[in-house]
Amino acid sequence: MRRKAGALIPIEVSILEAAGELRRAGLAEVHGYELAKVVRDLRHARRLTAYGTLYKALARLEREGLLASRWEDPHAAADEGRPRRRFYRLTLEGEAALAEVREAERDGRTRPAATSA
Amino acid sequence: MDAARSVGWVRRWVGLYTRGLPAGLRRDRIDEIEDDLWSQLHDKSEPGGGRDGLRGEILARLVFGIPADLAWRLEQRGVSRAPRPAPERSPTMFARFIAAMAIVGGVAWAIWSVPTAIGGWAAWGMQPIGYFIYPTALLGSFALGIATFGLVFANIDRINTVAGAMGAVGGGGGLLLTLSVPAGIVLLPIGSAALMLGLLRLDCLSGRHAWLHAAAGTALALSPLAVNISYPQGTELTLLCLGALAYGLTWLAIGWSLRSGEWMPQEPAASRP
Repeated sequence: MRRKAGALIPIEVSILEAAGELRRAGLAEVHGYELAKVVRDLRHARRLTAYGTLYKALARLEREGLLASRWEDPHAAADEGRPRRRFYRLTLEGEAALAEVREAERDGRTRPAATSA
Repeated sequence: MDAARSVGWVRRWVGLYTRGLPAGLRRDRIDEIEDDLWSQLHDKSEPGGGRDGLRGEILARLVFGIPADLAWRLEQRGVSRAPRPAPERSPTMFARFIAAMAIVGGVAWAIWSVPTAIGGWAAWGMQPIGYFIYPTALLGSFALGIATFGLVFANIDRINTVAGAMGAVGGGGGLLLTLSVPAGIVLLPIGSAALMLGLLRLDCLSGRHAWLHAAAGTALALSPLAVNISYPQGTELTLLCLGALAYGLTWLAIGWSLRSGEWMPQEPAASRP
């Protein structure tokens, strides 16, 4: 089934919620694996989100303007002996979409389209 | 199976489904998954369930994500196929030099192989044509040896170890031929064939160029000279010359395709935000 343009699917909502949680915890920017762990906890899942599912959702959220990302300085990663990292942060549009989702859930409606992005 | 093997499966899969994408997009996806794998492997805050739990988790994340990976890859078709602006080419002197060596070597091999196929070794003694064949064969072998070494050197940081080592063997084979050591005619084509397949994996070469070269190189190396390595005669020599002609022409095509220097590794940070 083809999804409606702009509509958020559950994993995308969970990612936005995770990014919001982490921001409240003082982490404005987080990488994919950190998000995957928080998403797992929020969803009470046994496993981390699959690579393909996670990064496809992150790409779409960024395309919709709900997340923004930046690549870290490769030298910083090299200094720590690890691959370079992509950091994501929740945008104002993302916060608005999340607020809309929460409001809709409170009202018992279905998840809204991310039209604000 | 340990976690390292699961990681290997993930890497192979990512390498496979990102093949053919624009280099920057492909690098970003690979790096992102690499960081995820690294983070998971080094995450001390996770109870994990031991190494067995970790390898199962990695494998599950791979398998369950395959449909999304394929969907993502399909979404990129537009990106891959959209008319792209002409790439900023940076034909360094070194890249041009390698391409020139490949072209010179390819032409030279085509030149020596045709009269030899027709007239046999006797052609090498016929004047005035004999004056050209011998130096052309030496020059061509030298140029192909240098081109092979150059391609290894230019990609030393990123090429597969086996392909790089085979490329070095091939380059050595070309130089041996320059010194009239017959074993070079086996070492050069086998080594360069492995190298080109390695470059194909790096998206430096088109599949058509790499596979044609590998086929011609393998045919040449397996030609009768491999059995009678000194001086084959008759049909064996004709087969050898045809193999050398095909091999030379594939070098010519490869040199032509590489002449822009676009395939040279670029500074990763320069093109990224």
